[in-house]
Amino acid sequence: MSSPFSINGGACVAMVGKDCVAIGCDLRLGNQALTISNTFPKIFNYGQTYLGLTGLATDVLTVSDLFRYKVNMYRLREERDIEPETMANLVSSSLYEKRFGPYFVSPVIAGLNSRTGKPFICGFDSIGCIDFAKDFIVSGTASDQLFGTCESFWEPDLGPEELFETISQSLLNSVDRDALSGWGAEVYVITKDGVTKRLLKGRQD
Amino acid sequence: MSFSSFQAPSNAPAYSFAKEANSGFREHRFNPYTDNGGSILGIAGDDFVVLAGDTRSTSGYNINSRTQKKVFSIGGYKNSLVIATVGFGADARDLVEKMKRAVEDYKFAHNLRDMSVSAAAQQLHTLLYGNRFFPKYAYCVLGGIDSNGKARLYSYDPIGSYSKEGESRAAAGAASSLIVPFLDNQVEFKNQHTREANGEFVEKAVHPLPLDHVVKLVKDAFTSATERHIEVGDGLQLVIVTAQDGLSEQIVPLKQD
Repeated sequence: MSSPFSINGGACVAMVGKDCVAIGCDLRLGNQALTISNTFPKIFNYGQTYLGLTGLATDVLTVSDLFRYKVNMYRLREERDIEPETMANLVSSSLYEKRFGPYFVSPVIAGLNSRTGKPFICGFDSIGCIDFAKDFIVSGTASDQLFGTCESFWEPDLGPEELFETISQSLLNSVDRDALSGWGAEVYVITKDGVTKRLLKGRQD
Repeated sequence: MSFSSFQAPSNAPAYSFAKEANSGFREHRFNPYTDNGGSILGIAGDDFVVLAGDTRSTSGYNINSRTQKKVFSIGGYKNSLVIATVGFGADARDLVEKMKRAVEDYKFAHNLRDMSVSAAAQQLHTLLYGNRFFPKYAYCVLGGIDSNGKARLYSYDPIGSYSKEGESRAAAGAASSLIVPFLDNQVEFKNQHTREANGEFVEKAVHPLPLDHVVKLVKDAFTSATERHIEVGDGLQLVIVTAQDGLSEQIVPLKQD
């Protein structure tokens, strides 16, 4: 419980579908067992690329702002939005830079490549080792539960609506079995035609 | 040797073992517990119970056996009583032997009447709680058919706490955290809603599932757990108890990696 990764609690998951990706997170912010806020989203967007951050809340905010700065600099230099694959390498190298005093976060990336339209998701450990997955990525205090539900519910080539249902059920049922996650959820479904953001109420306990 | 000095395995159950202060000399001590990994699962239908467990037995990163069963028939009413156990294999085995013996003794002490599930449930509690200060490190799930032909399912922690009302489903062991939220959703329909005639959403009503559906759920739960947990795999032992046809067992292969 004194691990920096599980003081504030929180969960995040990303999934690949057919020509679409989805990313979701819970909304809880806690101090150990005490819930401080139920409006603490853990997903941040950088153009068309989405970054989910679980772990120590102060690092979640710091890291999200750090990447806001870095991606803005990238945009000014390149005069285009950052691709999810590029973002993955940026996150990886930025985290490894702090190899011996890491940010206590477990990031997740989801997005579509703007040129090829190819879905892309990946996850990282706190020092930037990339986990490229073809199916789904989970992170946070409910990761065990998310592994169970995602492995059972996910299947290849889900359409945007099916993918939304799959990721939502995986997330909701997982956070309900984790005392440090929950209190509502946020789910983004990203297609080439646009992004839909949905707020899920979920159990409020 | 004081009992309070016994240490549970690293991913220990949530009860309190007093930890001695780390002062100066360290004595090498016999550790009476091992965690042999694996997972078990039980689902009760209306008139049947399915108890399942993987057949892998581990210690640390080693696999001791790929064919070690975790579900045992212990006789009783219409030969319907079954126990599934995970945790420390030796304690689990001893517990099952003691339960078999208790069921046998009951028969001769009660004019050849077979032990009922509810009596077996209480007996298992007494057995576990009898070891309150040197617990049997085993999580148990007990299933059977009651005198009305209805399915009963009970689950226990290592010191014997259980619910007399029973459960509709229970999971324990290494991959229980992976399996339980899946069961919440698929057996108790948690987070599922149906739309009423007036357009309002209400929680989907819980109803007992048919046997073929339950078997599918159990297989799905274990293939998923096998995929993501290193202590689960090799084989799936499925024990089905029905009010009409009694006991049957099948072994389904799981991944061996």
